Amino acid sequence: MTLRDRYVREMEQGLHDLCQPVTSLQCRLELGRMADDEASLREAVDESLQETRRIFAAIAGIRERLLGCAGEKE
Amino acid sequence: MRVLVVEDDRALGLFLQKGLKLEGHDVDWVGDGESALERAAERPPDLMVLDLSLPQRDGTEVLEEMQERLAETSVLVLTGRSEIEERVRCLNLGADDFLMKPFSFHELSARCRAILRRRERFANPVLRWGSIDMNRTERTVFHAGRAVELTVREFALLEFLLRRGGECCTRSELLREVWQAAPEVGANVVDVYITYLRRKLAAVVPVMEAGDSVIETVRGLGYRMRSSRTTEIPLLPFAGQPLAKGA
Repeated sequence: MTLRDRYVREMEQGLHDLCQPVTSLQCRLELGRMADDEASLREAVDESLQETRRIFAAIAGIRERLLGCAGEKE
Repeated sequence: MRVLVVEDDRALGLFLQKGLKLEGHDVDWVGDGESALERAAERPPDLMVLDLSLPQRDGTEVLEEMQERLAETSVLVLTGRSEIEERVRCLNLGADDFLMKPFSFHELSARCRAILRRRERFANPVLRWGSIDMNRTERTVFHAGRAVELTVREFALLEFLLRRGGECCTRSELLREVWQAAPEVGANVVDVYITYLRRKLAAVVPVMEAGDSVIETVRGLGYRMRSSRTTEIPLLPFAGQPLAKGA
């Protein structure tokens, strides 16, 4: 497998891992807006912050994958 | 409609369940392929929202099994991968639609509604509840064997109530689904049309008394069809003809 192929594979996996918390965040905020009362909005914000933590972790995972590839020789 | 969400990501699964419940659906959530098949066998859903990457049995295996055992259930597939081959394979295995992550809940919800609308077109045209028979192809309604003339809107309202099979339909849900209107429009129009419907349904069955309406008010929420056991009315003689005095 070429280095380019490795990059592509790692990026695909990284994006896949990122999709889950981004979708959760989007849906959670939309649901918060649908409920339209203060308690629900606060709950939506709290749960959304948990999702942003997962997004940070997914991004850290992508960085690690790319660094791993960069350390390899063609 | 009964929806089964199959998603191994707990947070996303619960959000989808919550959101689809807010849209008026009866929603279950499970987190793996094996549980999905078990739950679908226990309570066959109208629609399955199926993630492809699942523990135990993956989404494509679930799709295959569903095709064999529960072909009448519609399936909306969710995936985080973009390969065309995967989408083609799922559609060939019987999926009705496909949604790529990340997605908006509003898009998911719109796609669910579109699938359910398509499904309705091919469904059995006859809806029965107690003494009421509706034929959606012929656009006819009979109450205790007697024809009831309904306007387009009254017909749509009764159809929605019948499809829910005795479960409560909220006023905002009826506004959205029957009038395609936002809740801000005001629910009075729903109450007015329920009154029209009750009058027309009662008018063809003179033996019914006040309070015998086949449509029941659920205080503070909305309406539902009254339990068929309590509204069973014997088929009247000379269907379609006025009753003789004293009959």
